[in-house]
Amino acid sequence: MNIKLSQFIGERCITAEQGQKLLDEIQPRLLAGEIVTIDLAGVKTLLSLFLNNAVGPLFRHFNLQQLYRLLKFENPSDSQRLTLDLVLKNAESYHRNPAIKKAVDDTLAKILEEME
Amino acid sequence: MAQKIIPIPTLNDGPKDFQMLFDIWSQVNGYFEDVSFDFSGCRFLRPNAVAFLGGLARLIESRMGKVAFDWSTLHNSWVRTTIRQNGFAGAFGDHSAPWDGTSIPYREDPIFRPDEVAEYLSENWLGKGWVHVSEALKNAIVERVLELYVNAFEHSESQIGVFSCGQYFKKLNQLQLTLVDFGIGIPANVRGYLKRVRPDLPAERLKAEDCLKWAFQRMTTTKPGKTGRGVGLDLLKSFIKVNHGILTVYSNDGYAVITEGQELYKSFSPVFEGAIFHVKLTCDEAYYCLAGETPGA
Repeated sequence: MNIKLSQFIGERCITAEQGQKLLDEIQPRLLAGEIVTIDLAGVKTLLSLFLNNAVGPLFRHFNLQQLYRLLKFENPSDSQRLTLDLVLKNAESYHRNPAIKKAVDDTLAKILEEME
Repeated sequence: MAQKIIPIPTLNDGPKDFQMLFDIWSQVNGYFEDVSFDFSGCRFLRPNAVAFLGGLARLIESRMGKVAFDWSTLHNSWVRTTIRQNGFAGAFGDHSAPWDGTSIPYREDPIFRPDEVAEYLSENWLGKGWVHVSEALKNAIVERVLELYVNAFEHSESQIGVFSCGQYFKKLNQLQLTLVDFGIGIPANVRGYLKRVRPDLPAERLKAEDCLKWAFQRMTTTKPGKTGRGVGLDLLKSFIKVNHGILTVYSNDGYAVITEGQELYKSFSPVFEGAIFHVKLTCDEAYYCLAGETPGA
């Protein structure tokens, strides 16, 4: 399946709702084992909120290596490549390793303990 | 209630200037206020002050108060020209229309209109030819700064939205943009989050500087939800560092300064309910690069 994101969503991919729309389109295909390619040519703005909603929930079903194999992003700008990389790694940690989230929250508790 | 006459001093963008802005906020942030702002003593007004005062006026109105800017007291020609040019004066009763110049328009976003904000950043802030960068780099800068607007609308709980203003300072060769919200503030948000996840801990004792530092780290979010979050501010921070910019944040009783060489987080007074993000970028093409490029190459 090939999706030209600038046509499917628009030049600016920003909101959670837009991300949900993409997720609804690609998730069934990915779960069926189909390779999905998202072409970012013509996308001027790609924000983390959009990506967190578009691909974050996929990590309930896949790990990062599996997604790298099934979900391809073509023609990202350098900036978008950075955002994609960060969002994907962050989302994997968040969904598949609850201990990391707890560790992040625990840093606040630790700060309080050190104040005692 | 008797009308309060609030003098607007000369306002730059250093810590003392923000203290003065928060002093003004503390005088008029109640309900049913009746306020008149007096410009007699104002000889300079940076965009951070414009965004803040505009938002403060709307905050007063949202709390069933009355607010006026006394234009008859505005004697300084530079200030008068600047706030007419950027549309601030026109937004508050002055009979003038904005025009193109080195000011970036004063902007109110009561609700988030992402395409409009992206166009504002792209065309009004970056697109005037002060910063000579490629289209790809312009889009990258817009992406990073837009994360701030998203962050404000997602987390601030502001009832009146977000307020922005910017300026190109030719002598400094510097582009500035300030975003202001009058929501709950970042430290308050973080303390509230810890209270929810660890009610056994005295979250109110967390220092503002620790809350701000936590908020700027990767993977931290006060809204975990189903999707995972916590990268927007990290992306902006990285961009600021790589491109020799300065990001200053004031929120509640804390402030942060992020530059290429340092991240400084400190507690601050007086307290202010809300958040201010103050971005400065240097308009030198050689300073800009995307990750992996060499500046000036």
